[in-house]
Amino acid sequence: MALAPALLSFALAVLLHGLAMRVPLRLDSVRRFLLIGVPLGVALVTVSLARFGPTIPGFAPILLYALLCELYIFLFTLALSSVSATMLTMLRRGPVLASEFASIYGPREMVMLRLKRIVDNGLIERKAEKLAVTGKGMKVHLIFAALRRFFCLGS
Amino acid sequence: MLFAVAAYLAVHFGAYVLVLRHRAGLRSERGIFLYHFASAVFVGLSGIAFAVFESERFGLSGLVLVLSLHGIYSLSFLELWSLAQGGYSLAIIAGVAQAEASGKEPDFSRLEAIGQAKQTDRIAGLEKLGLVSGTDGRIALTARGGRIAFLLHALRNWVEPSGSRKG
Repeated sequence: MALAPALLSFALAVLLHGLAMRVPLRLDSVRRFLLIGVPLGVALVTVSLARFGPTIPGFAPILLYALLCELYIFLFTLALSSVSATMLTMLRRGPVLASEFASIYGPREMVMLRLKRIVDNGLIERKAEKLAVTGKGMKVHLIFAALRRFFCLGS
Repeated sequence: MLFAVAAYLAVHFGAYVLVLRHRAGLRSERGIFLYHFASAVFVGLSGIAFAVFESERFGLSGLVLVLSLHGIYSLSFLELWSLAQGGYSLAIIAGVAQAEASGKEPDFSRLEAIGQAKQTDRIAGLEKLGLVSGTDGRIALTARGGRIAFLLHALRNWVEPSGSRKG
């Protein structure tokens, strides 16, 4: 079946990503996945087009693989950093009093955890005990400011 | 059919860019999600019809291709929209950039207030989705919420085996 190679490639990419996350590398989880997913994708494109040519059965597995990879990246970044996902996983330990929720998963902690990730990713740096946005961080800031205007979401 | 789907997606995006993005209804999470969900249902049903009536030329591969194309378009669009609308990390970068520009210290209390508002907002959202329930001032997972939390926890452990447990 034409679609089987896409499903196999995706399963292999997820498996290798899990293994890559257990190896000490200075790369974040998304880059580690791309390091594995892109070569597998190139291999899938080559095999699929060689087998079926530029036809519907030739393109379908390529797009299916691309969709599955995007969905996987979306889901694991959601699981790692979404506020709602974190709340759900925290509630697995048992019910929490609404009044105590903020002390368990406090807003200050939320800011500090994110700040640490942003610094680790090189978007903000500490200069003489002061925080400064790096060139890379400024690019991201400007891109999303432009996107907010594009989506009419206010400044 | 493929050209028709590509043209349809271009029209869907074009209508948003030219007219719909200015409408208040499409500036809410629910509105923008429904705009894409309704379109995906329409394309999916059309794809099924083609797969049935043109099984030789189109078939299951055609249906998968059409749905994948729409899925990539909608997922990319909604991810960017959602990050632009309420990305917490982006709000922190913006806060530091503004503080730097005005020569002041970043106002973390404002960011913490955003975090507090997000928490309250998300708890209400999760309750609405039936994933948590709030009774006697206690927040607990429902059976469905428990299953989703288990999957999220497993995914988190898979991707970040020794990493932080909070996000």
